[in-house]
Amino acid sequence: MSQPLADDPDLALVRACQAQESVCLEGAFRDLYEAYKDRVYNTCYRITGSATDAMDAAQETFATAFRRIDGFRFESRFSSWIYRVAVNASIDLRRRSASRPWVSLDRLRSPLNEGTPMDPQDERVESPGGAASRRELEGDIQEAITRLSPKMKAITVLRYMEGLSYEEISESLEISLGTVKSRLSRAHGALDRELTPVLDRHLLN
Amino acid sequence: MHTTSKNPSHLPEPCSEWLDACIASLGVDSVKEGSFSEHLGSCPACAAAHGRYRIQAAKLAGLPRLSAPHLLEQSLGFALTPGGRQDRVLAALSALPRREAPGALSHQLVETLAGDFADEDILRAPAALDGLVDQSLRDLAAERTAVRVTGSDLQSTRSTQAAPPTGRKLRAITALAAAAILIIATDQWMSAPEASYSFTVVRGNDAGPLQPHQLAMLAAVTGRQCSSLGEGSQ
Repeated sequence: MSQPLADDPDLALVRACQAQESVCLEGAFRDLYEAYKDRVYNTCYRITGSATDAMDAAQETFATAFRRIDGFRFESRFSSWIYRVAVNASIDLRRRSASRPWVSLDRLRSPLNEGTPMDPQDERVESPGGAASRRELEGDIQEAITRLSPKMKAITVLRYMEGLSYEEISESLEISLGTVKSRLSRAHGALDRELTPVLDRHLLN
Repeated sequence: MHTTSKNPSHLPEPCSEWLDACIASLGVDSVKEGSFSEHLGSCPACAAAHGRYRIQAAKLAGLPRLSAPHLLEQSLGFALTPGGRQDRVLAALSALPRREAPGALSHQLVETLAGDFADEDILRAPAALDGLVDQSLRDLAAERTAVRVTGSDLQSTRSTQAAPPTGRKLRAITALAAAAILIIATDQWMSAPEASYSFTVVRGNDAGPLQPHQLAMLAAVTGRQCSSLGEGSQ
């Protein structure tokens, strides 16, 4: 068994969770949840493209991570591990959702269009038309991401939205650095195909 | 050296040997590589691709960060509690709003209980009923006439007809009676100025004003016991 990563910022918190008697949303588990809930939810939302699926995937991520935390040996950073769980949960859930025959209403009522804290600020600096245009662009970008393959989605989200380094991505997805690089280059090829037309259209408009 | 373009949009792709450096320069751990910067200045394809990738990365990074919904905490709490998923389902089911029965339901129920059958039920009586009733009345008239001609009870005639032939005389009487019935019935039929009869609409077990033989006939036709519902004439 390898030595725990001494530089893991979550070391103490994870140890506290491992020492806690019951797995519940209290104490150290609550702290860990608060520290990661937004990162996990964002990752799940960007991969699934659906608020409903993101909720389910995020819940499954935390439930899995908390139940298995006793077996966590710090062979990677906790953040990398929970990202891995979140990515896998999102891809699995997306795969199951793909067989659903209906169209998600999330496209019509995405979290971006709900009353998020950023809205008041946006309204101060943007005209209503500008805000609508920005939201449309964001929705189109999200759709372009959703059309990528699961592997491309995962690496794109972790790299450009969660801002993970190559090493962290390597840990999270359990792939080599070389695979990270080659997968990123293929992801940009896919983004050329899916995202560039969207950006061109919005620039033209 | 430029790579062969496999992009369906035919956008220029960066040189394969500079691809990693091009992508690495976009992210958080980008390294300012002097040699790559020099290459960008001399390679339009790499410069174009680098520009596209930079915009893509910026747009992706610029997507708004979402806050985890409060519902996530609640659902996670259920998921972590033993039996919590079942409790969640039960809670969701019990939280469904109860709906009041529509006013039309009670109105419909009152109508159903007050009268066994509404007017529209009566109107749905088969059209052939009139014809059947008409035919039965004509048969009855012919039967009564035959009874008078033979001077005996119709029932005894039927018994005689039902019994096996006992002799030549009996067969002659029977043939005579049959001929008389046929002649008189035909005469009445032809001489009737206009068809006129009364009818009775029946249903259920109430015998009402119908005669037993009428009930029996209707029972044979409809396959069920009948009773009177209403009367009229035509």
